[in-house]
Amino acid sequence: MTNTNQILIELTGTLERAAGCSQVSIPCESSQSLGSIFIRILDEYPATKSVLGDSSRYKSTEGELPPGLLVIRDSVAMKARLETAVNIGDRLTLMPMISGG
Amino acid sequence: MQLENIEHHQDPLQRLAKSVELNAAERETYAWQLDVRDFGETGQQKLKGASVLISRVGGLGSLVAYELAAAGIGRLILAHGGNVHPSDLNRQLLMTHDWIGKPRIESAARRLKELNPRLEIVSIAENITAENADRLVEMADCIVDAAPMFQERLAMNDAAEKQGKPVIEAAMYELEASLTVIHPPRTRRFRELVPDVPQGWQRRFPVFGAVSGTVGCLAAMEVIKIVAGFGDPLLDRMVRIDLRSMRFETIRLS
Repeated sequence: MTNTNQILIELTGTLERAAGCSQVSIPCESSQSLGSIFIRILDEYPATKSVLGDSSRYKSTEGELPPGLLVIRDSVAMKARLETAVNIGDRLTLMPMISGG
Repeated sequence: MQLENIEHHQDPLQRLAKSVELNAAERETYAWQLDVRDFGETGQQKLKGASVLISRVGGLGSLVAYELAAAGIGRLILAHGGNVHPSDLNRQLLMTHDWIGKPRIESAARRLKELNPRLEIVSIAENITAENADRLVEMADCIVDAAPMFQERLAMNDAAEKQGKPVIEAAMYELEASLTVIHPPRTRRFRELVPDVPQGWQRRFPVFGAVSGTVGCLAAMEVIKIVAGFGDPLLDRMVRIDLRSMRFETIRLS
């Protein structure tokens, strides 16, 4: 059965490599802030600290995203902040900018 | 009722590109691409009159340079330091086995001249830094950023923004790639996307030459469109490519 009370997060690039998977599901009963989503990803996949940094930076309810991290919803790079709300059923892509040549 | 052509083309370099007449040999060489709609001899003349700076001619930049040389760009300014290493040869197609231990920039220039002896090449045996970026950007109409370090990309974009020149931002990682055109104020600034060096990026990255080559060819096409003034360049849009699943997605950046 599909769990509709969730937020789907696609991970790309260095974040995918650190997590070891390309998609995670965040079960939730209400909308979540981006900051709280980062904390849950860090709890579940500690190696993502290499890209997202320490979870302590997300304890604050407000603030900037890590430099070079795009948050994409419906093929639009959002002008997002840590307090940006993500709704149940949303599907986001977290895309760290890459620089390989 | 007559049909109306409602195509709109963006041509950010129109005021910069100068046209240079073609000779008979060039018309013969480029005959097949002169047939491309909206390009023609006018577009070819603009390519001949253009100078393009490529920051690093490694796995990605080497394909950009090769395609631009084939297409008849007038002048390439190539910036790349260091000597050829054995581990370059899985992707850096302008480097050859017999050139291991010798300067990469010489190998690149030699191979490009074999393809197109008319091409003017300015070889700079340096990578982009905050110290040399202004000087190198000044030499070009258009810039291709294919450097593996964010410090180089930030320095390049800072200089290009000051001088009002478009930067084709091309990058790859493992089986993923991204491509966009940065040209403020028509687009977001690179520093809005990458304010500082991101955490977690490492100098050595997983790469197949076929991935860096794919995005290199796409970047070359963006240069051709911008210089010749046709088609719709990726202004405020980014193509995200995942070759593992063969998914191409265009993201709006504005």
